[in-house]
Amino acid sequence: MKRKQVVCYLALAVLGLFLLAGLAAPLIAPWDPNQVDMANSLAGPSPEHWLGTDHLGRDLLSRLIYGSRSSVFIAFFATGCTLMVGMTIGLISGYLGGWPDQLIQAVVHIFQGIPSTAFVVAVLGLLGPGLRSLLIAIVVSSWAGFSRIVRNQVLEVRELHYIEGARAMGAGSVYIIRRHILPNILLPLLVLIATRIGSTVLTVAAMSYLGLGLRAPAADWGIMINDAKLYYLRYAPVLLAPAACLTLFCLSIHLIADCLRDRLDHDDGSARML
Amino acid sequence: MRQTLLYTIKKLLWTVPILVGITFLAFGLGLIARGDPATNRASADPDYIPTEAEIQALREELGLDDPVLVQYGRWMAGVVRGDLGQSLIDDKPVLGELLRLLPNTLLLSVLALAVIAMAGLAGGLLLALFRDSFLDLLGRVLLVLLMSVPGFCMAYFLIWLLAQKLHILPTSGAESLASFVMPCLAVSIGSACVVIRLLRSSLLGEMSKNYILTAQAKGLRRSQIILRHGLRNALTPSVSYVANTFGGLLGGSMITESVFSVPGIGSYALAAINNRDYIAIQGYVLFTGFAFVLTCLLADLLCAWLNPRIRLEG
Repeated sequence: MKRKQVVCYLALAVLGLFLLAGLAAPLIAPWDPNQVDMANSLAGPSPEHWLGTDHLGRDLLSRLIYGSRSSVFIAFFATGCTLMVGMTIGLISGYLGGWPDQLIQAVVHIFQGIPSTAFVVAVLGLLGPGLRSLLIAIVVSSWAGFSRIVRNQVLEVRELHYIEGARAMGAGSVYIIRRHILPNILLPLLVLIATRIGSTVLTVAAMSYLGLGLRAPAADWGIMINDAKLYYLRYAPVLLAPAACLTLFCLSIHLIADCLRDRLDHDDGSARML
Repeated sequence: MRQTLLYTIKKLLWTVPILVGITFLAFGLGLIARGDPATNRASADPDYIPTEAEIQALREELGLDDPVLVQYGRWMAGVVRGDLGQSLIDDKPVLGELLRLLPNTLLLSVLALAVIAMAGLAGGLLLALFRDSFLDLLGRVLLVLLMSVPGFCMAYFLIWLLAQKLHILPTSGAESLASFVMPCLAVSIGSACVVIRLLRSSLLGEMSKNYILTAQAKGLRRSQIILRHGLRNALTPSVSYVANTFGGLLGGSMITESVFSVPGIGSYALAAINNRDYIAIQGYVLFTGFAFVLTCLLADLLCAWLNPRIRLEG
């Protein structure tokens, strides 16, 4: 039990570090991430460039730090937007029940019927690259999964006696949803939110890698990996560093999700499926 | 038997409106395309600047001035006949091109499916059997580490290790089965780890239930209890996940295909996007959507066969 807690706090600390690096990027990054220095390209670690430089002589460490700004913040923001849309629709669907629920669920199934990568790529490709398109693509392709789980949770909670009690006392729908239903489904949703943040970081990186997300020369982990394609055999860290950041970020997200799941499993086994 | 049949029919009927909905969605995607398709098409040849009149003629030829529903109807009439339209760039039929490139993507996905399923089953059983032993602990640490490595980073690691250092596999192409080994590993390692974890935890969940106690009391052998009772019930979440992954691979292979230059439908979609060929993209989304929904349907039926409770609750 003790060891598990240590792992949880470590994972949270790593996540916090990424967030902090992103927030304070202009303060802690030793160089401008886009400062080109061709004379110094693909140089090894030195006192000026701790991790060396990329093929244009840009400081790797600074690009990593700015990269965590774009990757992590886009992921958090996009997950937040998805959560808003998905949760609202899921709450309405589950709370209303009956034919509105059936109708909404049919739409949800249709949106879930297209593989998410294909969906994201198609929306992005048709809207054109950029931050706005990236956000739209992520929300459009992933709200459905969110709303389905919220709706199933609401269906479970809705039938409990205290909801009936609240209704008998004359509470309105909005009040019941806000005061009674939301707090009760929030904890199980945390697991889902955590895993979604992880997968969104990967989506953002993969899209930027394909040239569909953010555009070069933006400092982004996906773009860095794309840039490194031709040069990693000459200087491995250009590829290793962003890949390690992505892996470390996902690792901490997975560990946090595991911890949350363990917490929830005290009640029943249902959290395993999230 | 009757229940199974009823459940199957119900699932099939439920699939029809979803497929229809996907046609709406796929068609709708074409409408959000930026830029004017007629202009894009007319300027496909970079050395030639089209006149206003030529573009207008093309607009009429493509029916872009018709109401949206009329356009959808025309598109659907083609879809029903198995015609997804012609690429805006090279005039080749979209469905023909997709079918021509499908074998590569399908081979990659099926290989990955086999690896994920086998590794998942073996690993899940092994870790559940040796619960809390050193092997289990080490396995779990490795799993969470491996599943955190993004697929395209794994791909570059494999290229570096197997092609650049050990020289045992080709880095790209689709000429021989050997060139599929790395793409397959790159997409399946992460998912296999997820399946192992999923199966382990659901197997352990099942093994703590009362019917296992009953089976033990009856004096069944341990292997029998696990394989006949525990595993059968514990398999459902993993089967759904594997089917989801397989369907997702059919429509999500573009990253792997682009890293390893495999000429599959993912590469086709990427090329279509670079050319803003919205007809090809519509076709691709429809194609992968149908494939995905049908795969999930199969998985649902398989789960119902494994676990009768599902088909009774419907």
